[in-house]
Amino acid sequence: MMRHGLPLLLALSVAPLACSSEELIDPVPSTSTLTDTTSSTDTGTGGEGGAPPAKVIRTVEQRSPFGNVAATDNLLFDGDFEWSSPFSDQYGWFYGPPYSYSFPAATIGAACRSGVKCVTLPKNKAVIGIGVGSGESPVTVTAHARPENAACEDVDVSLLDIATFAKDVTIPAVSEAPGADGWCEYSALVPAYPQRVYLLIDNNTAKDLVVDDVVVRAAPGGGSGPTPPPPVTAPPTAERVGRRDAAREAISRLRGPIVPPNDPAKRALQEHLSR
Amino acid sequence: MLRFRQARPSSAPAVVLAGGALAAVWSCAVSARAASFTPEGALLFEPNAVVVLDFEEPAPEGEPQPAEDPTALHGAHILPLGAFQGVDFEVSLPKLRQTYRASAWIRGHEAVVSLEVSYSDRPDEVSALFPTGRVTSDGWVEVANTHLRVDGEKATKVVLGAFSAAGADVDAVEIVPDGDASAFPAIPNAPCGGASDSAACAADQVCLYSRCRTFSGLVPPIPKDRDDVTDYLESRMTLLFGPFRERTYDLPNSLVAIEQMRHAQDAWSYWNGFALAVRKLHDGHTSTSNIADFSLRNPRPIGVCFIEGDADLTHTAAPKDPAYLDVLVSHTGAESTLGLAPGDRLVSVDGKHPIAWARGLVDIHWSLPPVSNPRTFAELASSMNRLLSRYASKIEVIRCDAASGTCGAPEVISISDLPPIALDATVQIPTCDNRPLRHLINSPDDHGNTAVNGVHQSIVIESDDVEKIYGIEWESLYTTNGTDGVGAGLKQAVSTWKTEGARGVILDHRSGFGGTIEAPKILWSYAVPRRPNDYYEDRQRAEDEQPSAEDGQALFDLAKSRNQINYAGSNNPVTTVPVALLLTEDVSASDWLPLGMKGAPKVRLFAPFETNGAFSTRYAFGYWLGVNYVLAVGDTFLPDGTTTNGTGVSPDVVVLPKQSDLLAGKDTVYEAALAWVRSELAP
Repeated sequence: MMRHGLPLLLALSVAPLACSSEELIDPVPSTSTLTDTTSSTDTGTGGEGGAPPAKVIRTVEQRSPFGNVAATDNLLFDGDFEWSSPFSDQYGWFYGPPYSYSFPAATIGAACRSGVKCVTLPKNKAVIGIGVGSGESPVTVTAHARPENAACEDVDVSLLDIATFAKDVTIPAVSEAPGADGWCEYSALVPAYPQRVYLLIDNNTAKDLVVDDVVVRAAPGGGSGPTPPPPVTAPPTAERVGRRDAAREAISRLRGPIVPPNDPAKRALQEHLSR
Repeated sequence: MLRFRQARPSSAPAVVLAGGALAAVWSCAVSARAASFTPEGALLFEPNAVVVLDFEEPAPEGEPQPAEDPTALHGAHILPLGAFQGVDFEVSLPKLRQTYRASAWIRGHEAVVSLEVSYSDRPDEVSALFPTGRVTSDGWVEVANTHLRVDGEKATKVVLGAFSAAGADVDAVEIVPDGDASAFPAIPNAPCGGASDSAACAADQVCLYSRCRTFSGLVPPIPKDRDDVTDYLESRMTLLFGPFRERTYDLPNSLVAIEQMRHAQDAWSYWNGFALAVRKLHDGHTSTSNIADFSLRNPRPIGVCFIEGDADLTHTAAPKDPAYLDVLVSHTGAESTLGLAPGDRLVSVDGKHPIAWARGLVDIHWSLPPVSNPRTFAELASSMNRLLSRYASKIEVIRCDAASGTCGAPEVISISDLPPIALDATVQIPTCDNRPLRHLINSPDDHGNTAVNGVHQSIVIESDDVEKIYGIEWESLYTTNGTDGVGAGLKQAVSTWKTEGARGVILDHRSGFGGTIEAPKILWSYAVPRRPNDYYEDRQRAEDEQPSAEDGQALFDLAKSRNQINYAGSNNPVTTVPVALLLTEDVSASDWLPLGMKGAPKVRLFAPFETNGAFSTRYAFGYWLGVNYVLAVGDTFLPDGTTTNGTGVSPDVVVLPKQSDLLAGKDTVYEAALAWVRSELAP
């Protein structure tokens, strides 16, 4: 993930680098050369005579447009939503309830945590990230969600057990309240998960929830070290158990071959481009 | 065509800056060749921009109208696009040969922003804009692409288009020169002799429709975090691609293409490396596409459909290829036929057997039809007319005379020299459905599907209401609940057969586009005694390898005990009525259909070769319409524990369409099926 606040004044202080002949698609200099000035609004552009600083309309930042690809071995098909597309009829996430492959159009821009795409869930909606497990290693799971005025625990993040129906794994929030940036992080080291991954992120808050930057990886070192204990969490409420069961039932229903005909978005695009 | 104010940016910015800051920001922006922001966050168009659009003036009636918005990036207005709405801006560029950075800012949802350059009466080159990573705190996202070549002297039209599937705001469009004529090949859009004439074009060009066309603008620039992005994309294939056989035999070839990405010198080579890696997985559900598939129109459509078969009349004039079946004209439309007729033979394309030539397009053609089975090429034959238009220079054909039943000597036709059709001309191209003839009373002449419920059905035209041989012709197997999609049509057909006392049935599924298992189940229930059929499983673990048959059988049995397998058939099938299933081209559920039918008491599969063998499902991913890929995600176990993706269903009766039959107006595969059905008629 590459994410840095970047008020444009910074461009001034590093003008020689920003003006290099490097063939960059963006004109913002490499963030590694900049100091973090995210909170700065005193731009110093008031000029002579002590005029009051102008009001900052917006800030600009530079991100990797491919999202969090540092997690190159992410076991989810598309944990960062950067490859979601309105023209994909069957994407690597389910959306619901009622669950289906109809995935909402991605939210774009600074609202996302990494990259330029993420998903916004209305209340009582959820997404289920699809991926593979590891037969040899524990898996680490991290997910990020940004609630509006809600506690992190109001989001249910869990690995749904589809194979044996024996036990879901709740991925706990790292903190009770969102961080200063508004994001909650959910993280756990799961001792064993040798089956297909269905990671439920369920918005139990009263408002919209933004979800982004979700990573499932085989833990480094494989299974050579001592087996870690499972994450300690309180048992899910009956309501959450019911919602998880509904998700589980949908997954069973949606598995298998599905090749739908061209969707309306594709047809509309085709019409536009062949005008 | 929607026209918005196009102005030099010197008059456009409406922001006031202190002198020092202004100079610094602007001088920086000049070198970076893109719009910049004041310290306060106001956007400044790049001073050298040759096109800026800020939507401050009303649009013509009927076009999307600008809206006043206090968070406009420039001026006071933005252009909101509704869902499924698109807009075009025809722009004027200098009469110079130079390259440009084109950019726009969007907000809300993804939008496809493209730059189309016409050197003729139609778009000749297209570029897409991709996120640069610049985002603003109030929701704007910059999309851009760089070094887009435009030969201004020759360009007849340049159009910047925007389309959003979900709705998006657009603002602050600009086009800025970022390179001179040195970035161009000696001849920018040189004539070329088909895809085989690679020497005619630059490294980032492809010979398409007989002209070298720059493809680097179709894809994003090489990522700055190239190593990570490459590793990430590689792991999509190594960790997540599902089919076992392809992972064993084809994945190594894919990884060679991935390695090429690591050393690619230009954007096209980099992203084409990824797309090639996906296609090299050689799987019927696994494919790639990009915006060129949508926007570059075919100037030389060919109204001829081809099919693989046996050129029994012309092997003396042109010997049979040892590896591939012959390619014959199945049927034609009314125009743009090259003078070809059913029974004529396509001998070679640019010196190669047509199928060998088409297979070679895997290196450049993103929408090459995928197939799992390494021994069948029906998809290439049925799409041959489109491939010839795109990538062929010269073809060699043998024409035959239906009246005398004789054929001539090989003859060369230059595809490159065909006159392009007028832009507004409409050419009716027949559907290439692998059916030389249609056999139902309402089958459309153009071989399309006009049935309300997707299933053409009647007594076949060769039969009558005494003989009662019923037929259906259909392509899709998509239904989610047995009543939507083709579900109702298939159920209606089965009901008719039962209530009307069909004595024979011919299922003509020679073009099968797949769908869901629910549709085959309707036909299985009619003809097949219930039996365990298969177990489909998504890939489970990153480390999974091809299991042994013993392990596979254990897995199948476990799934059976959990009621997770597919059963084919019913407890009360009709086993007195002969059912012929005709196959040629198939994928997914259209593979499952014959898998479940095969071996039933009164069922016979008639086909030239095995089916596709695409026993999986897939997920689709798209990077701003520039790089789209679809990946198969699982495999299917048979009751004996073997996996079947990549291994098609064998026909019970192998029938090759014969040249002599096509010439005589006969449909070889159908005739064989009809003869068998008649020999087995129910009382």
